[in-house]
Amino acid sequence: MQVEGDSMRKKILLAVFVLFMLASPVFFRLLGDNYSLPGREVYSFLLHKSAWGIPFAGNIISNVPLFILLFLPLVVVLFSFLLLNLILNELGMKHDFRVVFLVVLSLSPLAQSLAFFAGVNMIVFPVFLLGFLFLLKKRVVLGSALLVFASFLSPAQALVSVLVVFVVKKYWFDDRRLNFVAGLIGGIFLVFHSGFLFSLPDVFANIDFSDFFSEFGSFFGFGIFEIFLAGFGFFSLLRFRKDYSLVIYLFSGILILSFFIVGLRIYSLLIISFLNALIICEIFKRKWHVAVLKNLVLLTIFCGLLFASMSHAITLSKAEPSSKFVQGLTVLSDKKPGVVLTLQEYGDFVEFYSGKLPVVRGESVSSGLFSDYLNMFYSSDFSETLKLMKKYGVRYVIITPEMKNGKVWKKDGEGLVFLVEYDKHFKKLIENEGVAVWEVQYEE
Amino acid sequence: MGRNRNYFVVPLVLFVVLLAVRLFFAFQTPFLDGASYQHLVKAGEIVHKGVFANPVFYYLLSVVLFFSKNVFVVKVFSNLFFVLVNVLVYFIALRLSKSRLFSAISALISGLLPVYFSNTFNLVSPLSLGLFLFFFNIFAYLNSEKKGWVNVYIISFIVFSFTHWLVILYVLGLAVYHLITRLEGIRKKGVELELSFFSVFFGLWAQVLVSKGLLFSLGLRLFSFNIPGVLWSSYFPAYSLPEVMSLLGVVPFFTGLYVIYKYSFERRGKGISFITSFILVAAALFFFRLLLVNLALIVLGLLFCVFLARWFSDFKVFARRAKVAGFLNVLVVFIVLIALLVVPVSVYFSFSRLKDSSQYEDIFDAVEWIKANTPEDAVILALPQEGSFVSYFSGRDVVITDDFLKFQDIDERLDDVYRIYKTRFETEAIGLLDKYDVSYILFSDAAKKKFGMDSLSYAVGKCLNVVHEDGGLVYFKDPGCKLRVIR
Repeated sequence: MQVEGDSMRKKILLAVFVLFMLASPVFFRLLGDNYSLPGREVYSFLLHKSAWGIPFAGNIISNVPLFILLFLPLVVVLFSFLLLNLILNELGMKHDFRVVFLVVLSLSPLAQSLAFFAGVNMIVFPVFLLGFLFLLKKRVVLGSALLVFASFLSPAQALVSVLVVFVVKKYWFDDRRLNFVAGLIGGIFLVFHSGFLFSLPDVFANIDFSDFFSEFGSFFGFGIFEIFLAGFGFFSLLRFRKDYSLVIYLFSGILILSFFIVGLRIYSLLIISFLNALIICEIFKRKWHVAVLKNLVLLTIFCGLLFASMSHAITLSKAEPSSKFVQGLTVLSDKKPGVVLTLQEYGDFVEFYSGKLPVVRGESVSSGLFSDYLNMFYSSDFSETLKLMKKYGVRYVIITPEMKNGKVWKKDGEGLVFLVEYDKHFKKLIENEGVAVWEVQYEE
Repeated sequence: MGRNRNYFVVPLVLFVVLLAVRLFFAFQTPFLDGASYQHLVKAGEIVHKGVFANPVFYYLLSVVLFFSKNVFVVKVFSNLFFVLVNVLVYFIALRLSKSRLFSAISALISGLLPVYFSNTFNLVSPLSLGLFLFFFNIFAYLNSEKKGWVNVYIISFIVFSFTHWLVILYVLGLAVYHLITRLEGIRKKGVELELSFFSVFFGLWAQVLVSKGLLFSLGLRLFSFNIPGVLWSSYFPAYSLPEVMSLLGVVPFFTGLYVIYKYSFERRGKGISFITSFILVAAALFFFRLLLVNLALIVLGLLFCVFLARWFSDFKVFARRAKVAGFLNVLVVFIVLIALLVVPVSVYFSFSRLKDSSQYEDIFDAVEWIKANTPEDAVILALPQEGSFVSYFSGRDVVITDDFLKFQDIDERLDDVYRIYKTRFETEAIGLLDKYDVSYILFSDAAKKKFGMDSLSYAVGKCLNVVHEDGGLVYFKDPGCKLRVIR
């Protein structure tokens, strides 16, 4: 009875720790009085409801209150952790290993990002895990259906689903239906995601090494320390190379490809956490000559993972849009109609919070429009700026400190910043901690 | 007891002799090596601004500065660590060669190596403590099987991890050591693996922790030390082999290579493999430009000197076998004399460094004037190599210094600074001066020489006036002069 109570207490403690680590970015964001949804993907989803290729899902999610939507990714990731625990249990992993794996996973910066940003992964990841779990339980039809569904949503997912089907077939059970499933997912990949293949040369050519590490400011990167630790885990895994060579090749392949393909990083996260758990368990079980060194090494590993995680949580909590920016946009919502000139990447925020259209948004903009957009920012000639503003019906200008500090201009007093300050045609509507909203007053 | 006393006599004599020689040269000038002033500025700031990358040395230096700001005290403080490095070379060499005489010769030569002596005798930098801890950790690791040394190692390694980037070289060296011993089938004690595990994890974590801000702001540029493109060649000069040999000393260079070859292919030696690992890593980092050239050569030179003692011991055995033992002393003296050819080279390079320091003497008057006559919030424009000096003595902010890691936009900033000096157009200069809120420009003799001008060519209007002339021209920019777009 006592043992059962201790076990339950440990489980509760583990759940609280995991919840705290994953919820910390949202928690820090709310502490900073920012109640807006972070990231751009979710706004694109809410504004253009057929995004992600799931029309009905868009309609459902757009009716969910924003405050609940802020916590939805966290709930989904917690559910995914539960599924992962069941999968590892099904694969015969011991309880201690599963605990270490879940702790390490919750300490990963990328896991925090998944629990913070609402996006397509919110659907793909749990569906994939559920499909994998059903396959392990030999529920071929249900498992395959879920993997096929997930494969429609993302090319990286389709790739991983095929590989998972092969692994299940080789190590778990051989079923001829699995050949058909692999072929079907392969077909989906070629038909629906062929553009992905054509974009690969560009992806490989434009690799940004710093994008892979959270310490360099990447939202979807790994901590340097966890990658380093995983390196040791990989050497430890090589002991099993005779029996699990396919798994080792797959792990290596996915890890290398995820340098280039962001969509694969979620699976690299699982692999890296698995390797980290492996080496931590090994360090723990090893017979040490100097006991204090064992404790110091384990403490260093824990601190290394924890510090990277907390630091990433603070970075994440400051993700755009800022509360001041949203306040500025809310002021605009009551004003008369007109187009808003601001940074391209703020486009969806502007439309969502102010109900007004931005001059440009999204990635694909015609070269003529983009050239005019840049001229409006950089030209010091008011007559030219005014002509362009009239052409696009610009009535409001929003300038943030980030725009002044490198995103658009390099110093104060350049181009449009100078004009809005000194020209009588611009009337300041609001300025809040550097975020300024200006109204353009055209001469009748 | 008598044996123990003798054990410390040789290193004590070495310490006194080398310290005396270093201080003799260091005291020739009241100024420091150019790179020192940025560290003095940091040590002054650390109390107010808190912890930054690798802070241990700065805390120690700030304590020294608290008691005395006298430059000679600071020189003694720094040189103490640099000399202790040579003492550690003695002890490590003694462990590998078992010969006090040869270890003392090696340590003496290591202290007089041109690349080490000339670059460090007048330098105040975390490198002094970093190098000391690097060699101390090597020594402690080699003694790890002895009682008490594990704890000493743990403490010194923790301090080392927060002192200097050299800890990265150290942990990489440990990793290579384990790889080499595994490939060669050399048996190691269990405690060695455990210490290595601890060092690798702790060292890396500590460096990620203290460099977090720099990693975030500079990204991958941190690995090239954020050195501006135009200055790259002065920080990574392409030395020829003869130049490298003259900096490292011909004898340590060749004997070091010989020992590495001998113990890699013909014999086995755990201690030799251990030191070889650090040489390999330092050479690789040097090759890939991940270690500043002078620092790489200093590390390589000192490690080669460790091998010099071992080479002498092996040579002694060889001479006996070759039946020329009668000439052994003559041969050793002859080789030592050749090895001591490093001394004139060191003296030559050291005087050259002292001459470089004289540029600060030239601008000292101007800097004193700036301190006495400008508002505390004034921003001064000076050459990058003068920036830290001006900032340290005047207490004013400067646009650029040679502490490049401080500036995210270093290439643009340096380009702007050069343009302010070189341009003929007042409008361009005023725009750039406003960009950095500059109120005073120091136009030193070094700037005159660099740009081939006697004065700023555009400073003939109302905006810039010469307000001081001794020790370089000091220009004052009228704050009313602003660049405006008029419609």
